[in-house]
Amino acid sequence: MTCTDFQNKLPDMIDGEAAGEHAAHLKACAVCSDLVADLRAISTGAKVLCAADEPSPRVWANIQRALEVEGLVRTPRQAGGVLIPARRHWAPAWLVAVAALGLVGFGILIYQNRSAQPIPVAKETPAITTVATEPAAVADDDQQILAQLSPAMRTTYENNLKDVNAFIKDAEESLAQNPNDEEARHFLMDAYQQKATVYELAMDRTQ
Amino acid sequence: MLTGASKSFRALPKATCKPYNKKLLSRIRLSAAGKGNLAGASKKQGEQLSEAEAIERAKSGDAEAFEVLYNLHKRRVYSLCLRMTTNTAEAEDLTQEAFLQLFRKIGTFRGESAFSTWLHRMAVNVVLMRLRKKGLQLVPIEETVETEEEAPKKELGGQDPILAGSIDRLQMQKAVDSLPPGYRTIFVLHDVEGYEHNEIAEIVGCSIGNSKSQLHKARMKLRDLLKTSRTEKVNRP
Repeated sequence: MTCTDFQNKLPDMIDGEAAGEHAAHLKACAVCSDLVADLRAISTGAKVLCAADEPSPRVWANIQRALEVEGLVRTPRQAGGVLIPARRHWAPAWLVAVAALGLVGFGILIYQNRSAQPIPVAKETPAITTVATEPAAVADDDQQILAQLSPAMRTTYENNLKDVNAFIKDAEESLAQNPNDEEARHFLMDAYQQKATVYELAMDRTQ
Repeated sequence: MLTGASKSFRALPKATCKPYNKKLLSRIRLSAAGKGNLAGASKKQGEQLSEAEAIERAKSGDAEAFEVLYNLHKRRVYSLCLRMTTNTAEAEDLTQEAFLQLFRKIGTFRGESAFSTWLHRMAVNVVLMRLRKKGLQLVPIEETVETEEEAPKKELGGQDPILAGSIDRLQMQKAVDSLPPGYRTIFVLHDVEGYEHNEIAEIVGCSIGNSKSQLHKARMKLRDLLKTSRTEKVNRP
């Protein structure tokens, strides 16, 4: 059996065991056995791509809105099976707006502050120190939001906030290393917007 | 003005490999290993609601149950959409569409198949429908004559170091994104999502033999791409 004969049969036998003369060729031919090893490594390696990425919080926000518009959701406390809109927490809406605007505004401040002029690293240090002192206040805000959620939702939002906070921290650290890094500044701005979305979603779910 | 490159914070590292992404990359690898997979989907979410409970409550329109189901399956659905389209905005749009279809039809779910199987099949159909609308040929015709450049080369001699053990997630992701749509569809469905050839044949409307042959060509193409990327990496100053 030649390598060409063997490789012509490969699509049919690659995911199973080679038998007979194919197995003998595979054992004897280093080129074909390396090829099979590579193809199997690719097939196995592809599994890491399953469930590897996280959608933006915007996706759930849009789904939630669509569910409400279509009247597919009702409140847990509702009796009698009549559908009513689930967006029932209008009272803290101003708080959501303030929190979201605050976050985005804070991001814009940093963004403008740093994009206005390419400042030498030494001069930038005080501003970075200011940002670095924020986490305690941020953690307080997060805890206040989380405290209002039901236990089932709390873990989910806690994880989301943890992720987005880590994202903000990464971008901030990168800016601290290189204050002129445009891309890091964009990512930071985007992270603040994402956090505003998470806040908005969480407030919408408060008890 | 934002670039929009980072539509999701998990998707961020795809755009660049700058130093500030290194930590994120490690987190992504960790999360890819354990979160959002099917095994996790049957476990309890948060402190109270299991998947089965959430399904029952979602049937009666419970908002919290919808969110639990979304959180259990969002990663796998979104990743599937992202792999098939290679575009974050489109993947988000398709994820939204797939979950909305699910929630609209959840009342008809009777549990004959696993919920995850039902949902992922729905997501695959949503993606394929979108790709068809865009006029993309999902499966190349079996008799299509490939140019010498397109056809995977036969390996007849001259050994390179083998790839086994040296493929990381980003390399793989980049290589899969570079595949022609037809090869990519079959590869993602079989090797990433775990569908069998008979299921793929039914889903995309081709023969089992065609599915096998396209998968083989996709893997051969990926092998070339991964080897090229590794050589470039080694030769980089």
